[in-house]
Amino acid sequence: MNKPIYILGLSCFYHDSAAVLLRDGEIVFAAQEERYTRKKHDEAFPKSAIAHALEHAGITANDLNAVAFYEKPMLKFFDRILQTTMKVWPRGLRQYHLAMHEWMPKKLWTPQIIQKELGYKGKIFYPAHHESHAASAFFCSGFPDAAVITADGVGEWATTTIGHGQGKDLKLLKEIRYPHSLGLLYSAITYYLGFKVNSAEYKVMGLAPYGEPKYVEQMRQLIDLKPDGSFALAMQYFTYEYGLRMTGKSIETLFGKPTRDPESPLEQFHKDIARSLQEITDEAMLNLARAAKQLTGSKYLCLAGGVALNCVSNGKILRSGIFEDIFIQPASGDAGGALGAALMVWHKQMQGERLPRMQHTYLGNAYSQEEIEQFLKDQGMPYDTVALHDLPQYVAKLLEGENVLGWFQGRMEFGPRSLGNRSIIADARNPENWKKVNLKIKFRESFRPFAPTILEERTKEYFALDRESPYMLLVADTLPDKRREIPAVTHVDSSARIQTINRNQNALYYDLLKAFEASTGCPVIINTSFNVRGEPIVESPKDALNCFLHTHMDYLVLGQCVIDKKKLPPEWKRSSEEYLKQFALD
Amino acid sequence: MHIPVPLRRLYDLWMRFSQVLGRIMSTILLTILWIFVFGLYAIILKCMRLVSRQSSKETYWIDVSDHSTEMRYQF
Ligand SMILES: [Fe+2]
Repeated sequence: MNKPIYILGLSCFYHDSAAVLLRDGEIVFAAQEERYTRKKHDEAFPKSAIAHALEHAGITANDLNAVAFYEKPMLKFFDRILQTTMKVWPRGLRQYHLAMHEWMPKKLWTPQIIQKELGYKGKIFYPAHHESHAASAFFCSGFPDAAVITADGVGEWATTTIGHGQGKDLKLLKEIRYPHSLGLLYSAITYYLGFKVNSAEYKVMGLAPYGEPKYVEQMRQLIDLKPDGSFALAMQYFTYEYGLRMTGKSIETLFGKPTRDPESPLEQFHKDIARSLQEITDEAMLNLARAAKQLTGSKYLCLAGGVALNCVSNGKILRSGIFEDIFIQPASGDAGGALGAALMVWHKQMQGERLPRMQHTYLGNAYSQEEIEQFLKDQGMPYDTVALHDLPQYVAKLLEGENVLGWFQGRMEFGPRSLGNRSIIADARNPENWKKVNLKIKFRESFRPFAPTILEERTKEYFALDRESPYMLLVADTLPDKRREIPAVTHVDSSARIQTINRNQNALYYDLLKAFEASTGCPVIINTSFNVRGEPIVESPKDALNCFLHTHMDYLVLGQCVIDKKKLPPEWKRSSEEYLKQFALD
Repeated sequence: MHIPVPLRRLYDLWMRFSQVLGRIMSTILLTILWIFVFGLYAIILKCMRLVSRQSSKETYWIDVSDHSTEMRYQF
């Protein structure tokens, strides 16, 4: 038998660093560094993620056949950053100093850092940033031929691309370059609305349904959308090329209100802005989809890059019928770049075989029942053990009504969503649960919606969606007759960000829903990530227990161990305030 | 390396000073670079742009279909 080929994909030094390991093209491990360092969006060299990846496969860095870095550092620096410095000169001195201090000692030495940290002497490859994004979508899609759209903040130069994937080949055809960027437009408005850039874009998307599209015309002053899918931003409204802030005075004049202070009350105006931005984003994405169709003639579409996490736009592209089917890379942010880079090397450099569609994102660490029990014993934590085949029924009973559960099972998800292995779950029929989970467990803004997980076979009975959505990347309407049944996951505009589940993807989680359905008739539950506001999703039993103890969660299910908060002795009482202080607000 | 305690403090102080000095020096050097080198190029660029004023565009796409990218290189 031939020795397997190992490729390590890396992304780091911008945000969301991650490591991905391929064995003969198959993803054997993928994780974001933030989960180990407990620092949200950690951009440091992904030491821990790499160590876990190698350990998981039982290999050392010497066994790697190639390392793939998710972008071209030299191109980014010498071309874009230095050119932009000249373009905006004599503004941007501070930005220039910051960039220089980032690049000179660190980013310019990317290969040296990789070699030193890994003790690796082999080949390192550098696909372009958007090639990595495109590859992460196309090569995971299983489509033999597909159009590919990538859109994010910025890579080297490109911010938006249209490409064409055929078999093992993937080519970018057209691009739009910095500073014109849908991602940066979204981030700039996120900033204007007083939320954290590169982190809270989700909140803006969640806020949009509360508003009216009253400012679409003003938005059109910010961005010139061409019918051929291309666009340009009116740069007089944006300051990110030379300033440390995203936008300035001129955007305040345009919209007639000052930039919102973080954490200050949200007014109807802010909701209307969010909604207007969503309308423009939808329009831009639909234009791009039409252009991609025209350029490639493909039946299928693949999407990646941070903007592809905008599930509202994704849902619109799907319903437009421009393409027969679409695949969206679940790790669409820069963490997924690590995956795409490795896949580029496997397919284009090594001419490796295509693999069927990626089936799940459970690609991180798992903890065995023995490890979990040992951990709980060491802590002196009282718990009950439930036999594995009784676990779904047992937990389903706990779920009914108003309990909120921490659910920790199997391998950790790769990408920004929790999909049933590191989740907080609750009964979607109880409208109180929405408030409870937002305010008393996640400690986040009350307007933010929750996503449902539904048994795949019953999706059509509840939502206007005719296909699977295993990664929570599609938004569709809850059907009118079901809105009152599952109020906790239906947004104000009656939409829902759906996760469908079948037994092949996650047997235990599926069985849990099945058991819940058997006793209540309802195949839907609330699923949200296992963390508090500003905290990375939990990685280990220790993180999970910590988060559980410091919030108002009622039960924690760690593997087969169940902890009931009511039964805990008083010495286990913890205050949430102390816990929350360690995480910066997102 | 073993250093006696009184000297140790002096050594620490010296190291901290050298770091601050390094930071100041690099900031000064980078600023000089920014004013003279980048500034000169920036002015030339701005003049060139004045000469070749672009009219409004039909499309903002840049065709990259014949760019060949080589994954081995960082650029
Ligand atoms: Fe990106």
